[in-house]
Amino acid sequence: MIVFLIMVLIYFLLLIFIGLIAFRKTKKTPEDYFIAGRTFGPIILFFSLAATNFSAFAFLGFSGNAYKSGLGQYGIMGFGTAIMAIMFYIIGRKVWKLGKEKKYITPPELIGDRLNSRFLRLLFMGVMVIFTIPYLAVQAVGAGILIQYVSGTISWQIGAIATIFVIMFYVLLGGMRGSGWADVFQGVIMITAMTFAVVFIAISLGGFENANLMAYNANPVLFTRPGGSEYFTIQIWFSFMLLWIFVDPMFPQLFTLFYTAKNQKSLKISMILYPIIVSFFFLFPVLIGVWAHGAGVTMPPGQEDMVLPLMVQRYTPSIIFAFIMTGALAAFISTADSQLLSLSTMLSHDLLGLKKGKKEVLYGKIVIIMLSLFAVLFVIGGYNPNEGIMGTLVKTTFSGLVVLCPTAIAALYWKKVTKYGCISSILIGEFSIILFYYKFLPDFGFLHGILALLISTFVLIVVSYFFPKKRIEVL
Amino acid sequence: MKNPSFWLPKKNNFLWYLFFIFLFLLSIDFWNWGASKPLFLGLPFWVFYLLFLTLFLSGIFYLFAKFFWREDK
Repeated sequence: MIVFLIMVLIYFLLLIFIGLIAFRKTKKTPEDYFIAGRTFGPIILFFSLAATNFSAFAFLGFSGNAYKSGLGQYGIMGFGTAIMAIMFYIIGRKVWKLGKEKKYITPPELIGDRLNSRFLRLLFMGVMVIFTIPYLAVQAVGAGILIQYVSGTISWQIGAIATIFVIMFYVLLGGMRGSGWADVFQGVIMITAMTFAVVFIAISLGGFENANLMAYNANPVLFTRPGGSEYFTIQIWFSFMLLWIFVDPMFPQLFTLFYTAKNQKSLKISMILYPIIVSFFFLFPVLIGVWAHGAGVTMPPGQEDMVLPLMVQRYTPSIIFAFIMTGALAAFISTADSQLLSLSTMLSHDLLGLKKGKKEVLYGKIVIIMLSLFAVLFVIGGYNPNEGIMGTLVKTTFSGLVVLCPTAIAALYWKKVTKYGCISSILIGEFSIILFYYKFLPDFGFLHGILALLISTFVLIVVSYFFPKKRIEVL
Repeated sequence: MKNPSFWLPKKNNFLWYLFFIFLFLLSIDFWNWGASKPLFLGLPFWVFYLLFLTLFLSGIFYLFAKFFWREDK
């Protein structure tokens, strides 16, 4: 589809243009390149936090899951993500303050320095890197699938690889400043695109109420809980509500954004606006997934994540379809750029342990290129589309990262925490996930990540009490 | 207890603790399980309940930021 390809080309060129402008404004220091010199005001910070968190998962995964299981998908994503914004105070405020005082630029740097442990710093970094790379690849895969779907001729692998290279290029140029500016641009595009999608589809289905009633008559189970396949049990509901609060701030791309705030007012305003954007933006893809039943759309098993593009294609004019798909691309890319940057910051700053200066920025850029190539390899060889985006993410990223949260909170607040407590908490927490996954431990219907969070918290407290060491200073 | 653990509420934040926990518990609306009616604009009541609970949270965050969150320079 030529209109879509032209829009994507213009969009990619604009991203590179933003990267070029940011390049001219960015000093060659790690602080300026990796965290934009701690200058993000409320607007850029809010859009960065939102666009970074709303990913391929929000566009394709939400509608795919809603198609399978129903409106409950809105419940497990909406409120849980909204109340997560309290972490902008609990974690963000202290990270911002410590970062400013001690010149931290990565999450592991803060944790390792607070507990005076290089091993802990590397462990924290290792977990973040290992569980973020699949998440990064999933964004590219989402973009590739869309490009294949809309173009009809370009394979998803080629689409994904092209997307990775565009992201790599503008992140290399503009660093965090470029990424933040691009997030404002992309945030506006994706919010507009999603609004267009729901409005046009609703009109085509005879209005908002009629679209809902058609879906209700076709499959009323989707309007109740536990919903389709009885997925939304109380345990699953509770697990997800809790999961987002503790896992979202542990995404390195979100944690790093706390350093970029100009002041605490930026964090405050982001916290207030976050539930507003979540309440509507997360509802729209869920509605479209559910409406597909009323519209008589049948998705083959394993292909549910494509229900949103299919509905948009069927019920909107071709130019609007192209715009909405470009908006979906923006959701993928705005997450992937921040992931790529935060990963490269950690690998160059925490792993290589370079002296601060221009060389660190150079190494960071080399790492960006290496990570991009690694993501390409993941795309070519590692992704199983039959699991769906939700399945892939939940099984890898979310469970793996949530285990870091007790360590992060304790390092910021608890005087008695020790490095042994933190190390054991992370190692045993991750090990417990393997035990839950292979059913060596019963999960009682809860998400594995939540049970691992409890275990890691318990281990952190017990080991810190049993192996007391030097107390840390708490702000 | 001389040194209460850091996660326990203190005098100045006790009400906020209670309020956020209460809001979290309200989101586990088990009493709506199995219900799809009444429908409003074709959607079940519980969808609007969650939508307004989320918007209400934004208002609470505003009050929290204004009256509790003291900015460090």
